[in-house]
Amino acid sequence: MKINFSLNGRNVDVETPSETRLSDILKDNAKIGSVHTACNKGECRSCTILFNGDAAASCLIPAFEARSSEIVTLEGFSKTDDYHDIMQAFEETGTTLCDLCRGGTILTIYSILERFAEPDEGQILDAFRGSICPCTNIRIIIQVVKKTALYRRRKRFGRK
Amino acid sequence: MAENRTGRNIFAPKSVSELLSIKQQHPDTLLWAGGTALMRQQNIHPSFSKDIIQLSGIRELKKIRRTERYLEIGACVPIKKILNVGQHVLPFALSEALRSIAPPHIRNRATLGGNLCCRSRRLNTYSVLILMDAILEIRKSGKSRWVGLNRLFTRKGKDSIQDNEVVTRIRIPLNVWNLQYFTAVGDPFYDPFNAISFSLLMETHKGLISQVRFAVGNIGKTIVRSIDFESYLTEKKLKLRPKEIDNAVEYFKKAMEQTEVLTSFQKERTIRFILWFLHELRDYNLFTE
Ligand SMILES: Cc1cc2nc3c(=O)[nH]c(=O)nc-3n(C[C@H](O)[C@H](O)[C@H](O)COP(=O)(O)OP(=O)(O)OC[C@H]3O[C@@H](n4cnc5c(N)ncnc54)[C@H](O)[C@@H]3O)c2cc1C
Ligand code: FES
Ligand code: FES
Repeated sequence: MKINFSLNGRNVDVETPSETRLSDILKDNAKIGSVHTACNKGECRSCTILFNGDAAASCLIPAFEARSSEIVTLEGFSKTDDYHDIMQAFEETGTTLCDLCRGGTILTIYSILERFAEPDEGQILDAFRGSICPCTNIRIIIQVVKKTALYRRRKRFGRK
Repeated sequence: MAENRTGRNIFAPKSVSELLSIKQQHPDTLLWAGGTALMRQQNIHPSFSKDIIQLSGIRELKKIRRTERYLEIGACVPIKKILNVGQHVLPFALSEALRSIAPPHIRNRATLGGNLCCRSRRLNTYSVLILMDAILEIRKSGKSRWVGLNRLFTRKGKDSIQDNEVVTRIRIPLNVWNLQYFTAVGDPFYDPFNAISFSLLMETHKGLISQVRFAVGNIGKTIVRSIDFESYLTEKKLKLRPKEIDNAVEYFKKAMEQTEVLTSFQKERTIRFILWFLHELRDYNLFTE
């Protein structure tokens, strides 16, 4: 099957069997380094992308569903101000993420902030439910999300 | 329509009428909503050997409508979108059941229709929607029928959706239950012997229980419900006396024994849950009247 989609603002054409996981297409055909596949079951988040604007597990999206879609990976997202706000918050908490979960964690944080201007703990915990990263404490993630929300509010609404 | 190298057809209808006519001509096709349940079990490649109908391009299936009496949800509305419906419209127990389905990055794509139509298991929203008397619109080319969710599957798990039919809408009556509760533990796909959900709806009036419905779900192809348990509690005065709590528990134990679907761990969890909520009920001021 021939599919066409927008990847980080670029048009991409791929010839692939219809059931191929989008995560495999991104890794193998488009050579995207931030997408990993640790479980292929939608659990580990290492394959998270923004799919038509929403965070999604690319391992659960078959090629035929990706036709005409708009995909943003960490590579594309890292050119945005939102990315820099999130990274600044991580730096302030003295945390670094490993390669496997960087994409999933950052894009999940972004999707929380797109939904809630001032996310509460429950909303953050819900978004990170089932996260299997054993090294970054969820308390740190909560701090990062809250800090980033604050930077965004300051920028967007002039609030403290 | 696109054809794969393997010769498999992928249909992408844009309207319900187009969908129904494809389904009529190709009844053996697999309906693909969010694909999250299907892909999760993708090692079961057999389902992939079929032709596929993609539902995501049909806007009519993605609508939510509310009247005074009911809430109507298109089969392909993503769970994320249903959760955005105002708190005062979406029944609390249903909203809890939807929230319990996977993290948000899965709920962005997962649909209510897909949750109810999974053949192998009755998933999170099934039992709560049965208690709410939800009905489903099932359509085929030139015909449509409404079926109570409780009639969608037989006790043995056989479904009543024919090969040329599609679930298009879910209608949920907006009854006023002054106590609603839903909780789920465990993963219904990977931990079927421990996973379990409890759904509870109750109406109280002047310190009396006027109606109660309770179901145990996420346990396979059926749910456990006891009419004896529910009618025993009806008209009982709050607070319940210890003897009444014991009797109620006995009724539910009987139902669990008769259905023989729960593991001993699930039975134990159920008893603890019933004891917990019947004791909580002693403090009936918790609930609005
Ligand atoms: C990490 C993870 C965790 C999960 N946890 C849970 C959980 O805790 N509880 C839970 O309930 N689910 C869980 N799921 C499963 C799944 O996400 C949900 O059940 C979801 O609601 C399924 O919807 P879908 O649109 O993706 O269904 P699909 O996968 O598209 O379809 C499921 C089935 O329904 C059929 N179908 C779909 N739409 C229709 C229709 N309109 N008419 C007739 N048949 C139809 C399909 O043919 C298929 O057989 C989880 C999934 C993942 C990936
Ligand atoms: S590979 Fe684990 S969520 Fe996709
Ligand atoms: S930081 Fe990547 S697994 Fe923990």
